Amino acid sequence: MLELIKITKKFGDFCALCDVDLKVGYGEVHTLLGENGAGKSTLMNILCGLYEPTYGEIVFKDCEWHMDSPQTARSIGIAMVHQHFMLIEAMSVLENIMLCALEEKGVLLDAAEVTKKVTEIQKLYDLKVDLHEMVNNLSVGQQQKVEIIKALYNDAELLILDEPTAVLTDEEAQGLFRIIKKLTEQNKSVIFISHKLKEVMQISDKITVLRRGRTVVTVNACDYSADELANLMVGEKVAAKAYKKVRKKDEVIYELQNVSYHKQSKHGGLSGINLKVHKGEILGVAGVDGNGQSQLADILTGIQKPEEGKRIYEGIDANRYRIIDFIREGVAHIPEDRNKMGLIGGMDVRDNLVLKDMEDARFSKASGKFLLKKNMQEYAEEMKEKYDIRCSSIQEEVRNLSGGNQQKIILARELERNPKFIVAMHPTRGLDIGAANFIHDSLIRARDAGSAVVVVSADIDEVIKVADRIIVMFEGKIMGEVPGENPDMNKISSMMGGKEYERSDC
Amino acid sequence: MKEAIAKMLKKVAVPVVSAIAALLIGIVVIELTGNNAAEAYSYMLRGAFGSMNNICELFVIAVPLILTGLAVTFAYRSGVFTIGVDGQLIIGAIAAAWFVEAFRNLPGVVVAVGGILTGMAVGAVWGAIAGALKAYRRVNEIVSTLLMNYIALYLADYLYTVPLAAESSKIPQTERVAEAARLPVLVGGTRLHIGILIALFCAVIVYYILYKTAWGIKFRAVGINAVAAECNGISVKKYMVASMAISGAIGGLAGTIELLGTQYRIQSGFCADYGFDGIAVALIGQLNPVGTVLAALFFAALNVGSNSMELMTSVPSSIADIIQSIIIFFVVAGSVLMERNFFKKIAFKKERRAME
Repeated sequence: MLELIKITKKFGDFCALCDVDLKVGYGEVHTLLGENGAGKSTLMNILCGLYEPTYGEIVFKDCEWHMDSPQTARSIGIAMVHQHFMLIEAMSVLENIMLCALEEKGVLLDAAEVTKKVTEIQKLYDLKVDLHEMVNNLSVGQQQKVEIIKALYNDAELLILDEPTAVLTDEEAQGLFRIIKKLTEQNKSVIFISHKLKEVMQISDKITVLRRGRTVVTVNACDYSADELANLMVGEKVAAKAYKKVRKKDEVIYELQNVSYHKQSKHGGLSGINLKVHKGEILGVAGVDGNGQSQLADILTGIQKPEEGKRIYEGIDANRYRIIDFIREGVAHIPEDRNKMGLIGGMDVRDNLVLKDMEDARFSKASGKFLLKKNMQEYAEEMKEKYDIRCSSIQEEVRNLSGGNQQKIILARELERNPKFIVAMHPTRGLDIGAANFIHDSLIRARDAGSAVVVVSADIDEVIKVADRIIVMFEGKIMGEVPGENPDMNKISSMMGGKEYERSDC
Repeated sequence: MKEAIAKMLKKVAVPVVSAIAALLIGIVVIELTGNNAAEAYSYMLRGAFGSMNNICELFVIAVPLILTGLAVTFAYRSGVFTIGVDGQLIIGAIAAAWFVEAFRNLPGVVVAVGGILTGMAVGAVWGAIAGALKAYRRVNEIVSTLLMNYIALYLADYLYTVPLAAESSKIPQTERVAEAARLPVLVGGTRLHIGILIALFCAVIVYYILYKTAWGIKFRAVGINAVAAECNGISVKKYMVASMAISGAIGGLAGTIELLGTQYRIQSGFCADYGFDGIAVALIGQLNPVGTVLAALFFAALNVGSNSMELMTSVPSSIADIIQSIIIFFVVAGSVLMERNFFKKIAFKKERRAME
């Protein structure tokens, strides 16, 4: 169906893609696998008309196309579902779909006609979404379905899904895979972008591995194991790392006593949380996304104040602490949304690195009244080396960097302050194996240096990998606790599903 | 270094190209009115730069524009889209007028300095109110500052009509500022007063705060991404109020300088719309203090030049307004297109065609 021949894309001197070939057959699920910055997104942006290749050919259904705009791509049947959805939240599902139909057919649009076509699509591919619901009331998984419906409404033959499972729960991801199966049954093709090897193995027919802008190999999915693919992707042998778990309990640094926040909201609140975090341990918080984990992180870092209960930090009542007080007292925060909460996108790498320490004598005179740009510069260069932040220069705006490099900037900023307590929320979401390992290593190192770490993640493998102790959250409550060493998987999954267990000591 | 120059060029490109394009369109408009564009422009040039007196006059006009532009720049950089500089200017000026009148028996320097401080303080409070409404009550700042402009305007109207009205005058206006309290003239025989130095100094201060201090990074961080700023321990609310207070203080300063240096009394139409011109100046200056100063000078040159053009030819001076409007239009559009890499795409297409 699709053939890309020797696609090359240069940004200045930098070659983001170099002679990349790709062939996708009818009814095929073709996965693009690669680390952050391997060129997957660039390639897909070329395919859907956002970028123009420096040279190279795009052949779609036996015709060569000059893809000069997203409209061209859409009109010939190539649609992309972006990682960040392009939906208008204040409109209903149907209105969102009509909006994209509008572009094709002008101003006069028959709602009944659209509804009819959409319902057909929904029936055919089992895409259950209430058409009259407002988009902002939908879960992420449902929003994704709306995006897919939009693509299909425009008669897309080739769907590009950019890291579609990054935002989904495991269950939702399985639902997505069923939809993908249905699509391929109708002879439509899917290009699937992901880091998660397990699901790649499950869903793909063919896999193309990209590394540093070049095609490494294209293989049949069934011929390779996950480990082999990981090696192809990273380019060196990686073994699933096992960290040494810590069992002895040091003194308590942070304690929550019966903390509640927005109690009545099951998926956006906390109710009666009791929690003790000890120095030198990693506490893993597992659970399906949206069961109060965000609120827990907000309470711990001072973004929100508990409505009931007590927050005790280093033996002191910290109920009235503001964010800045926690920062001063050595609490580090790796937030769940790095662009929204962690970084100032329009500022450069340097300023983002020193954001919390500008008043420090290292970076300014008279506590912030005169910045020592030279020192900031040197420090930023040092961090760039130490944390392997890949950017063209430290003057580059952070919004132009890839997710992994953005996360490394946050990591550098937070860990270099020698925090006593670290809250890391989804620290490796959307990152490749290399970057994820780097971040896990850093967290373990911080633990060994005596920091208390709370790792919140929807990825249970991640929690098991790093945590010394695991708690599971469900509907704003803690369901129970298991040790990090050889955890009882059955117990974890039943807790994730809502079964509560006694806890000996919080 | 190369990178820095390229960055600079990119920043300067949009306003400069816009200005040139607007002047070219001005030619068409002037020709359409049946006049000779070359002649009109040459009178405009001579009007702006033709003599020492004209150049000084240009600076006199530029002073309030620089200050209102800086006021807008500061607020916009902190993410507060104020249109309230007009109100801060008038309320600051009327407060200064009161001070100058009430303490007229003190030595001139004391009166002038006191007047300036009063004007800035009242402007700051006026701005801070809108800032606090936005920060603590989520009132849209565009609405609140717009409405507060009217409050300021009519309050000032009342003040110079009744309590502060000059006794001997028939039209409503304040007492003339005493000779001793006026800002000293810089160049003998012209109106150019030390206000221009104050304005330039103010630009330096704004630049320093925004780019050389931790506050500056925090103000800008709040402006770019308030949520992330908050998560990084910056008190967004305080910085919002502070930015509006500073913006208001500069606005108040603009009014006070105009009162003490140029007009000496407040009456109906005092500095009307200078606050809005400030928005234009700030946008053309790319929200950069240096750019704002340059844009203000350019606007002042257009203003002064067009007056003399009107005197010498039959081209109306509103041509200058048209040119100004077109520049603003181009700059705003140009910035958006720049952001979207529109020009890069065009350049790229050309390159490609050349290759083929």
